[in-house]
Amino acid sequence: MKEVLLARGARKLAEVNGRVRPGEPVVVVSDYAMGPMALRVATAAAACGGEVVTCFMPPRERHGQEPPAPVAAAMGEARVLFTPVSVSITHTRAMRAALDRGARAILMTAYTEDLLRSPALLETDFEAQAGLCRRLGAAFTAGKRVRLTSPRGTDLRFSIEGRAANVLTNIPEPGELAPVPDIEVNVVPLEGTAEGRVVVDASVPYLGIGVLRQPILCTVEGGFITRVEGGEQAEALERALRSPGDPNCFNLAELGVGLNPNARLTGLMLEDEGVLGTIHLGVGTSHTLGGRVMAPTHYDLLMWEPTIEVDGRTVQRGREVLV
Amino acid sequence: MSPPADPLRVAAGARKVVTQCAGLRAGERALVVTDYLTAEVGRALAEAAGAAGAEVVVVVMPPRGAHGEEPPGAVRAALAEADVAFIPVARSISHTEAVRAARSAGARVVVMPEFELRLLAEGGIEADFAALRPLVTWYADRFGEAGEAHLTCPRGTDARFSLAGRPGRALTASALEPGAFTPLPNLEASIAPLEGTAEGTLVVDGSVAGQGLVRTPIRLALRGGRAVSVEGGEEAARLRRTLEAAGDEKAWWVGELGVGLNPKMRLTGTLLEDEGSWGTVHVALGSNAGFGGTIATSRHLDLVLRSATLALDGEVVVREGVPVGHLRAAIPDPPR
Repeated sequence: MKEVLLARGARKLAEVNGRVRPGEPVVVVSDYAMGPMALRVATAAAACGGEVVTCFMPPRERHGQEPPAPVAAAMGEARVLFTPVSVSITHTRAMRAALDRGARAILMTAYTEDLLRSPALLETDFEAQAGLCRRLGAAFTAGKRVRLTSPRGTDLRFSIEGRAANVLTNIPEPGELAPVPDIEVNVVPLEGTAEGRVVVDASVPYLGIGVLRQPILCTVEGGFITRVEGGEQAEALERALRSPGDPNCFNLAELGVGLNPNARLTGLMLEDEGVLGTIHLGVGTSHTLGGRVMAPTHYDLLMWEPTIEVDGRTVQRGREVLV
Repeated sequence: MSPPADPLRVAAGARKVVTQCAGLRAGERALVVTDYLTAEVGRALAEAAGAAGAEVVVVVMPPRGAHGEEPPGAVRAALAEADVAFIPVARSISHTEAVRAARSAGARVVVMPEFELRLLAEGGIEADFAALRPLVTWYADRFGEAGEAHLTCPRGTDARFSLAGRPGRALTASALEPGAFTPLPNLEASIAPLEGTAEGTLVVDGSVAGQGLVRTPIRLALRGGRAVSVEGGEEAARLRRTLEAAGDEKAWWVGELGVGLNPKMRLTGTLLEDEGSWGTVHVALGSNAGFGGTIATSRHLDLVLRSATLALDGEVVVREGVPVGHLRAAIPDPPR
């Protein structure tokens, strides 16, 4: 009877994050490996009074593969979109088209029962955190130069002049994405400007790497990671960055700031990236976040206890956001 | 509660629907549109479609409030992208813009309104569709050639319909060409009579779509192609309320005249089974824009008569609930 335990999280996703209203057209996109999760969120959305259409398709073969045409078409008609899929469709033309038509999208790639019961979802007051997110986002949007440091030895500088921050409050407006419970603000460095050294000591929630046993040291030159050093997990990361044979896989694509006070580091992307007290550096594709680089991959490297300065002013130290 | 359907027979029925009725081929894009009450039928069809090597998408919606109500926009959009669509639902969307548009875009459409899992395992699905196809086509051709239909029955039905220039429609339980449509396991021949021409009295003693079997016959007066009165007992009152609730006077217009030709289907009170039942005659009120008529509305209600006699241009094709027209032609009797 575990569904009784999972209902609260599903309800919060529909009610607080999705803000499903009576009569709103809701589309749940899922695949044949994620049926029970689709049913939970469809039920919760229906309980809010939404008109819920649930779509199932074969799981995608790789992240970003377009969904079948009937599913893409259905997505275009949604006011609220939930995507409990086993392989991501976030970075697809179908998603872009749905967002352009004003959908509010709750991303649930590879969602687990643990996530539905996590404090990151159940305990967090998303509305209260939203103000903080917007202030930090405004600081990035107005800012020109960023310096990132950490007690472990990170010292990275880059320009963000003219770049708008992406503010992921997890309560999306029409046209926005929400990877609940990953509350974050991110910004794309100007291409070619990032220089320094990065000590990744928290996790790489991709490729089966997860929580780090040993830090990964990255050298950054001219906006690209030029060296990756460390133990086995560092080697796995470097292999993954080299294997597509595309130098853009090493592009420093993103600075992301985790802002969910109840998220814990578990090795799962959706929870890790929101952990307050961590930042993540995205490597690879940046165009979906507002940058200019397209690459076949995008991975995030998480580190603890960042200090972020924007134009000489400290905007974050550890778990404290100072704007 | 009826006993659960035999899963092996369900799977066999689903396979018959997918391969024989829809002619689904490997690599085609199959869409299963179902609702939250009928989803297990949707799943059985999806499995059969997957086994046939198609790329299968399943879309589940809330059941419609009444037969003929448009599906949500997301479903309409999905249908427009399908090669083949299977539509097992509790309330029909057969006569909707969404399905018409899908067919115009080339989809082959197989609909299964008021369907349950057991209907994949037994009943009308067991008929030999291929053997019966020439019979159904024969009746459809007779409809298409006729100028006038005269419908009578021992309980007092006496109605005439002009058919001139309208095409007969054969529902042969197959949808093998782009744009084809068939309700399963319905075998029927029908036609959209000329709007404004139906006159007389209908005494419905079989069933009403969405309501079930009729115990107290319902008497309808037809004037100038529409039902102007609905009299009888409880079922008549309920029918009247349904027609009024449509909020559209076209819901009262005579849209269809047809003959049921599935020998494995019995009059049990569901939309689907009754309409195809061997020897029944049905008159539908409402939408017919999908098969040659001019009535576009959100409602399509089939009224089924048990023991009627139907003559086309004076020639009796159904005599007191028994199809006889084909016996004059060189077509063998259907299997019993």
